[in-house]
Amino acid sequence: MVLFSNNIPPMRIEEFRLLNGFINRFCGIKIDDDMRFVAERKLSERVSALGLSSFGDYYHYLRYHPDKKAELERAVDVLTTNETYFFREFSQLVAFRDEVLPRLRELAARKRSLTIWSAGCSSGEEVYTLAILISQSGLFKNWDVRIFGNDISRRVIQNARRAIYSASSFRATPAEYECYFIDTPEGKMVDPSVRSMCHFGHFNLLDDARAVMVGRVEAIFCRNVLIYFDQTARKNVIQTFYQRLCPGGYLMLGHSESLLHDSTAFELAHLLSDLVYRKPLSARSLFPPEMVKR
Amino acid sequence: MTLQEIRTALTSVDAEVRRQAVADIEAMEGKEIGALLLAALGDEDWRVRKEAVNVARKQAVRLDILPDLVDAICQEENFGLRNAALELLEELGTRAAEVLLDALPQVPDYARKFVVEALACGGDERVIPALVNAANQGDSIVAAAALDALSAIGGTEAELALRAQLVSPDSFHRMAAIDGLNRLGAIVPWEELAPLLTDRLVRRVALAAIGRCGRVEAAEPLFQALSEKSTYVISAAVVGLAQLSSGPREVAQEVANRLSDLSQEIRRRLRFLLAKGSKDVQQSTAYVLCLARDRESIFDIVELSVSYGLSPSIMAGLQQWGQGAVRELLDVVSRIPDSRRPAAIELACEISRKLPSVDSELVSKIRSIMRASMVAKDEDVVIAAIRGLSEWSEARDAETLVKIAETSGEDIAIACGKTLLALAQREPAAVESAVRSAKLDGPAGASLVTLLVALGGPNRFQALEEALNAQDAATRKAALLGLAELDGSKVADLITFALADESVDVQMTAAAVLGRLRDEDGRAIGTDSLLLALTGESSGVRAAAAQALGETGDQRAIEPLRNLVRSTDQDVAVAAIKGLRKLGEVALDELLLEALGHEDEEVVKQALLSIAEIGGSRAISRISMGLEHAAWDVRQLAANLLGGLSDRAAADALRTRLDTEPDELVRVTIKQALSKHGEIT
Ligand SMILES: C[S@@+](CC[C@H](N)C(=O)[O-])C[C@H]1O[C@@H](n2cnc3c(N)ncnc32)[C@H](O)[C@@H]1O
Repeated sequence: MVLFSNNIPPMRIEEFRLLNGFINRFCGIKIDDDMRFVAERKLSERVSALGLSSFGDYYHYLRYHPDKKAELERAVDVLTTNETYFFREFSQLVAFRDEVLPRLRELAARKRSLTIWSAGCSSGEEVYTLAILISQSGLFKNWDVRIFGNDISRRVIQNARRAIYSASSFRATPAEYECYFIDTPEGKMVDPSVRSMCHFGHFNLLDDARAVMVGRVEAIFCRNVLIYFDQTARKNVIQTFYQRLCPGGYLMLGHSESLLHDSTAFELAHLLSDLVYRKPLSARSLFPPEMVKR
Repeated sequence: MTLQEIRTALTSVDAEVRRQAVADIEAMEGKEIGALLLAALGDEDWRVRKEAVNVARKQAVRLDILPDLVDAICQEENFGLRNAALELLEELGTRAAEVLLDALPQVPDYARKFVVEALACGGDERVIPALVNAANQGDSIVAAAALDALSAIGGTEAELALRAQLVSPDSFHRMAAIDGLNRLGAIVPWEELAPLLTDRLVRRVALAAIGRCGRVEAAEPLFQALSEKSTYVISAAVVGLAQLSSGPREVAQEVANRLSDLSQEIRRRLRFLLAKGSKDVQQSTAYVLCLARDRESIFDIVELSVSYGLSPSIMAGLQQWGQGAVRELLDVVSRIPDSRRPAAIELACEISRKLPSVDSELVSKIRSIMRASMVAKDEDVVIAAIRGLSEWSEARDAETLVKIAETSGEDIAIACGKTLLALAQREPAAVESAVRSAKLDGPAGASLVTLLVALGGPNRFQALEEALNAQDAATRKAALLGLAELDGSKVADLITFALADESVDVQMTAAAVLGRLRDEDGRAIGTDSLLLALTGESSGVRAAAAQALGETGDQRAIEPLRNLVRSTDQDVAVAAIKGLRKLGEVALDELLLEALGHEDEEVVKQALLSIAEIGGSRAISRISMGLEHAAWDVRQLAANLLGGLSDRAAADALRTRLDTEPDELVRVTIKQALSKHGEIT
């Protein structure tokens, strides 16, 4: 047991499988076999920081140590990428603003409240981006508008609440949106009027019981999250999304992500410049929720 | 609920009442149960169907409803029922295979596709002939499903069956077959692939297969494909080229030669794929562009490493590019946003570290960029730079590193500790003088204490004793680990007292250390305190003490540990068996047999290890029980252990298991174990 030992033996295939399986069951992320060495490099920092001498010991730690919960969160944090920025994949956002939001306005006109969920929101840029677009659209004045963001990492959720960002978060921000940010000595802060629509929570997307906390939502953004998941976890999360969406609600995935290989009851909605998914409006739809074949 | 109540509840208008009734079916017996369950599978509410699927998953075989499930997928009125039945049959896998095989020739044409789909999940080689048959029959939808199923099943037989379809007169079959082989990542001989490249319809899919054949002839069509318009074709070609480059050396060399003079236009296309392709295409493209030494793609390679990490091939490609790649990476460090900088720094340093030699001008460049980045605002940049400096640091860096450690958080401090340790190998005096006056507490305490221990020196004891009073628990833990390396009798009381530390983690460390402490005569000093710790509050500490007692070699620990094998705290049970193994206790028969049935697989694994060590006439039959365990890692361990026992019964057990073992890694282990018994599989 030596802190920051550099002599941790390479991760054996069995150790990789045990750790990968354990982490996968916890949060859905699955590391491909040929990425084993990336996992090895990232986790070896944890192994040595804890003064352990092998990845097998680390697996043991994650299973039995009194601090196992905190450590599992750290492991996930080390293994996942929290990469995000404002106005990411702008063309989809424009399609959302110009084509989806008007439909949602019709959909929710009676109750005059709109709820959007950014699932796997990382440090919050996506959540604030959506709030800005909704504000800009002018369609929801005097409505109750809420955007919920959740993430499995406490660290990013804390950053999200802080709402202060450095230059790299703005690498794709069109100039017209600069007015939604205020300069501070530490970076640019999201305007309080936008901030007040946004709420953040720390929970795991696989925990469908906790997901109930977002209530019924009109749209879900889950971009660049499911690509890291295995099929089973994707299936469960998509099912949760289906349950959380109100009929006619939309699901937006990242570019190059699709539900092509998943059995799902979502239908494809063709927008002018994008393809998104929609929960069928009619409850008597031929598509039973969890298991319509492609 | 009684049967009658369930029957009534199932007709309720409230879906939740029906769902609950279905859940209650699980415990019921009787002929009618199967029929009720089937009806529930066709319920109009999906939650009821879902519950029915849950129950049926466990009970379908017992209730003998498999033929009814096949009927359910053949009817056309109730889609919900059909999908639920299909899902079930798929999940039942091999258990449903026989019924499905019987049904295949009899079901109506429109339903055959579903039967084939379900068979795909029952994946074993028995069903292959039936699938080949289905593929050769007229209906193209069934044929497609059958070829799909073959690729889902995989294995040599399935591959051969798919390869046989490559010469089918029906181009649709050829296409589905090559697509299936691609999904399996099968290696198809060049001679079988070459004719497909002139086949207009199939060519695009075939391109994705030719890289795997490892033949130099495959290079030409792949390079040609890079000039085509279709992104799909270019993607397939680049994946193929990446595969060829990882193949035999002469082939890789040929590809590398041609890559070095790729036209600007093709480079531009490849860069587009690197930025926008799917995950796999991005990885292959990055590799190919490294081999092409494409300077302009470095930025996107860094992006890729941030998003997904780089595959070993890309790392090898960067390595081949050598100092040039390091220079490019260092150049981008100053041009990219903070969030990417750590990745660029890490890559540059990792590659430079593995190069056989690095020019002195490049070393200076690395040093100056790391030193500048060490004081950056972003914590990840700082950590990457400190780690990067490890190989290249000089005496003058020692003091800066200690200062940074003292004034930053734990992660930075650990990075500093590691780099200082590496530096101490080259410049011990400089590191020692820098650490001497450092404060051993706070986030950096643990790292600096560890460093101090590694450096040795006369004042260690006093410094460590002081560090035991640090506010930071990790520092106290590091101090304990350091004390453990000193004379046992001098430090025993300090370490024993740490069992009363307010931090569980420190207590656990104290217990582990106590197990190893010896007096001058080599006798264990910690047994009494550890026995006391076995009654502590935290299961973590009890487990640490149990395991440490094994290290003491003290036979007094045997009885208390035996009592703990039955502990309901899994970590304690695991540790108790470990401890007993270490103590060489052999009279564990009954306890171990019990432990084999423990719900936690780690307990089972420890029991298996113990049984193997103790040996005896019943060891083989007991370890063989492990071959049937639900967890793959238990089966693998059992196989490994049986490989080490030279007895025919062990080989028999392994051979029998090999017939049904579904897990590839476990199969490999069984085969290795059998080969130790002189059997070639
Ligand atoms: C690459 S970021 C994507 C951020 C944002 N959606 C975007 O597209 O820019 C992925 C995020 O998903 C989070 N994540 C991964 N698995 C999760 C899980 N099981 N539950 C909640 N969040 C998860 C990660 O912590 C990470 O912050």
